[in-house]
Amino acid sequence: MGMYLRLACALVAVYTYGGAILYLLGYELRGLLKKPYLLFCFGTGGMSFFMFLAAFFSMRLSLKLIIFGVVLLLCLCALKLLLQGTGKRGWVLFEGRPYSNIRGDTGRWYKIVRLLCAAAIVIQIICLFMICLEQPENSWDSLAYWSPKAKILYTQQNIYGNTFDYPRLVHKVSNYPLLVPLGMSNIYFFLGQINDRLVRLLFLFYFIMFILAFFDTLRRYVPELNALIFTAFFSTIPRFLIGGGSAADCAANIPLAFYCFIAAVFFMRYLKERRFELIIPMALLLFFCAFTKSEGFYYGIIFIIGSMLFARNKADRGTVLKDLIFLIAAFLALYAPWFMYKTIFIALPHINFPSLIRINYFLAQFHRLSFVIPMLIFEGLKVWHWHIAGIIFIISVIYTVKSRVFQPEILYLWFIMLAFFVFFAFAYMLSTWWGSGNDEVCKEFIRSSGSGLYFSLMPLALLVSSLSFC
Amino acid sequence: MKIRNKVMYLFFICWLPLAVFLSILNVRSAVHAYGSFHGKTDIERVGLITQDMFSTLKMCRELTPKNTSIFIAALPYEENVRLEYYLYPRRICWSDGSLIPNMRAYCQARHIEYYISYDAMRHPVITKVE
Repeated sequence: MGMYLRLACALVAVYTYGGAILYLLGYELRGLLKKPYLLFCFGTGGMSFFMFLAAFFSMRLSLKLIIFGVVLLLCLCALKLLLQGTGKRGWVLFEGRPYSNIRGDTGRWYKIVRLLCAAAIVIQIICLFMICLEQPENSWDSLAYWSPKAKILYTQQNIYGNTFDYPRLVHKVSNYPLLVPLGMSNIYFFLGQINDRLVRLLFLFYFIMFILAFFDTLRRYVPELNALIFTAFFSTIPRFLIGGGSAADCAANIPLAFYCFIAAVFFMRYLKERRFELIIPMALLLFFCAFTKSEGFYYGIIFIIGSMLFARNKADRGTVLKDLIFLIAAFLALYAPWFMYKTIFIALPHINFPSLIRINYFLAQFHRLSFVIPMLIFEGLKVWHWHIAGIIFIISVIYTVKSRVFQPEILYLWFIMLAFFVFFAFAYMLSTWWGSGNDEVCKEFIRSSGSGLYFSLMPLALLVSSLSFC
Repeated sequence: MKIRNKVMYLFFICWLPLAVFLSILNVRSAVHAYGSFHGKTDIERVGLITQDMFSTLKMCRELTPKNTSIFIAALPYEENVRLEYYLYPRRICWSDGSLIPNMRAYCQARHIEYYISYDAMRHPVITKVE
């Protein structure tokens, strides 16, 4: 029982971090409790960043340090409350009431469908919860990439230990970002031991918060029934529930998809409302993406380019440009410690990939696109991985093009998705993993890891599909 | 009925069988996890998921100090990586698949303190390098 209490304390600490960060960034205090997914998003990311920053300046990672962070943030919040009072209203992610409260559907069928959708979501979560509580983590992604780092962070209590960049132990991925291992080690610090079973609940929480975020976003744009159908659909996508990187695994796929989805929502809100208050949270979200998985950094670049392209007019473009320059500066300031650490202290055991990219190499590998693109498309249409999410997306694109109703949000999301896809196609094309220059190896690499792209892409595909049909 | 609602119901009908199938799969996994793991100690749970590898794991934990290095011969790559995780902070080394004629000399040259080999019955045998 004591362990479960400690775990609960760890989660409370995460939510407290998130609440305090959001309040300090100007979020409306009363609106915070209605957005648990935002608290979790900024809590997990903020806590990991705080731990990394402390370790970067050679402080020992410990439970005391985490609690010190909570106390520090709460003191800052109290100071802000004292200076500012409760009179000033902060910003919120979604203004006004949800769509369903304006034009809701009623009736017998509506109730049955709603019940079935809710039941499907709840059943999946209860089952995953039972699995996480009983069975220790044993997936390849976790044991080869993420858990060893968390174990080292917990036992060595710093990031400069001589085994931290020990290539064998971290399976040649010592340059992988640290948000997920730091989040896991935070749980270990609260538990007072390494526990391969209870730590899985952190990732289940990522999934639950992801479902909440998905539903809350959708119901702002579409009727509640449609939002619920799409959310139920989302929560029963096989790849999210079964196999490596799924909701019960200690891996970075779902955390990255979660941060990426919230970042997309923030960018959509920003493009619609041009509120400057959203800029710092957006910079933080882009940093969380980049600090979760290496591709998160490139996702951030895509989000920023997309925002520039979808500014409404010339005058508007100037404002957006100024805001985005500020966003980039804030992001670089957040990213700098990790970049310095990665560049100076991590000895890459494998070939330094970016340094290999020369024009000759690029041209020599260009033919790979002829199989990379079809293989990636095929992956997205695999029914046993993604059910009919890919098919729904294609139908939604045809429907939107035919009806010629191009909402800016839809166009923005299409651009983001296309750019993600192109990025992955080129990444596989230039890949040096498992031996460069061998097409068969590259194909095998896509087969084993191609689904990683769709973890971030499918939630966006379902979001844009729901917008198209409503 | 609006086209939007028609499409929604169509998706719902397509989705329902999969949701039922997945729910059954998930419930079975959860029941299996509960049946196999409930009430067990953490080390017993690790034993259940590592299966064949567990004898090696247990032996290394019991017979070697934490700050040591161990060479493991003749295990598949994936098992080596898993053992490496479970045995941390011990350093685990393995060969690239090539046959090593004199294990003791090989380990001595690399300052490895223990090596594990497997007998004819696939039982692990641990040897300290003097």
